[in-house]
Amino acid sequence: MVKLFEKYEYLEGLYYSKDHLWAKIEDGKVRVGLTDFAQQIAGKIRFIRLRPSGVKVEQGKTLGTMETGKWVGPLVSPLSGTVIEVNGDLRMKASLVNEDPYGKGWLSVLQPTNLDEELKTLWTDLNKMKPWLEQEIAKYVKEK
Amino acid sequence: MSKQEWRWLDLGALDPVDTQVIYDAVSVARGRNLVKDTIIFCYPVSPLVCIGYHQEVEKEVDIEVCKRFSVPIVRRILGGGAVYLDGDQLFYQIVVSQKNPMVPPQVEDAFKHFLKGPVEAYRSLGIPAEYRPINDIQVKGRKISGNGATTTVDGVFVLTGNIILDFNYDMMVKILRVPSEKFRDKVFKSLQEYLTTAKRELGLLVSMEEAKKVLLEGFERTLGINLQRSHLTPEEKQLMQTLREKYLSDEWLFMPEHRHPQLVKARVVKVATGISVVESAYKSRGGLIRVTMEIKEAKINDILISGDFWIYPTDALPKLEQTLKGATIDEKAINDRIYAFYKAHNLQSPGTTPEDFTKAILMAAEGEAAI
Repeated sequence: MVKLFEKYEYLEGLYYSKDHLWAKIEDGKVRVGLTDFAQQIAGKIRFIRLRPSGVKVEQGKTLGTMETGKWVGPLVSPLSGTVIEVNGDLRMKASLVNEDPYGKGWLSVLQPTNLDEELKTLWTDLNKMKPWLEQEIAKYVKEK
Repeated sequence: MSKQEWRWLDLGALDPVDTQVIYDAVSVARGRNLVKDTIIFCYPVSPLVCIGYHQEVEKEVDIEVCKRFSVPIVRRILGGGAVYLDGDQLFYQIVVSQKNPMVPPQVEDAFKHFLKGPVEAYRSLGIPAEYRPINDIQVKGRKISGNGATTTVDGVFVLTGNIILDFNYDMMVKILRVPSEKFRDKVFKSLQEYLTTAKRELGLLVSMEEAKKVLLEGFERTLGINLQRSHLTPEEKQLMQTLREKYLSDEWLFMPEHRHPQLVKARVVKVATGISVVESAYKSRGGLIRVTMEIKEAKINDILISGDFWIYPTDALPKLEQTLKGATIDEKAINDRIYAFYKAHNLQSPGTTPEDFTKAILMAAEGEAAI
């Protein structure tokens, strides 16, 4: 189910980090990506560079980078784990993240190492997330 | 409200690689809370070619030419395209914690805020510069400063740019990898037209000392901060040493795992905001169509069509090029102009249809759209 906060789409059943990435549990593995809010705020994404398969990433550390206009920003991993798959389509077409952030624009799949503990630090109840998200929207979208 | 105290590092002429290592090192130190918010001034003791973080070096830069001129190629942590940097440019590098309430959350707002300093500096020199979204400073429609930014995972915002006292257009064009000499000529002309310098605007070369003075005042006045002259800490020097090794490694410069699996068929050089030179090679049944084009504000500003296709009458091409100038980059708009031209001049091009020309033009423009 898609839920709209203003013009930003969120899917029920996913986990969300304060760094605006989503995580989806798939048979004990975790697929991660950028939220619709983050891609809308970022604007057209020109490049995505992801840490390759086999690399261990920590929650809150860099999973990769993205470039929009003349700005490079970090993609902050929502969970700790080992990268087991990266979305190769983003190399040629990073704007898939803009077009389909929860689908074709996924970033990486992780084999999580501390899933149960770390999931507690993410939002999954969209109603509980709402007040924080409203603050974020106010922060990034003011006077536009 | 009392003014914020920032650190000012006036480092003078640095080794060319260090001009890009320095702000990386300072941003790490800032992220660890070892130093205050900082603005660095420096310039390279000898020229360098600096490529954007996500670029592929061989696609953008003629490595052989760089070797011949002993110009090192350095990958920066910031975005954007390949640039030629030398000692006629004063670099400013702003390293500030995102927690500082002065830093706007939106990148465009941050550029606008921090570029007030350089804009003021140019004005103090008598050049009516203004900010142009997202990341340029311009004077009378011409770019006079290039800027890029990043946010680190430790929450540090870094913005770098340059006060361009003078610019070596010739070297800039030499170091770029281009598909044809025609393309190179076009990039050269576009750069000359849309990139200006303090020297060109004033008719004289401003000294580095004068530039530093007005830039320092510009930042202090527009940001409402005090810049206290300081020096690198031992930790920062240590960080620089470690990072320098990384910057000089093949893994960093070539980023082998980041190769794109297939070569794009179009080549793009962005000259300034809204202005690009693009080229494509499109294979029609009647032969190859090569389109070299300057795009300005999503319109064809100038276009050159060449290739080995047949066209009669043989003198029709320059007129077709003329017809296309000013056309919006849009399939229908371009197609309509080409069709009308074919009809008016009774044009014949065996094996090459009017749509082929449109496709070649759109293919070149697509490369631009990807930027």
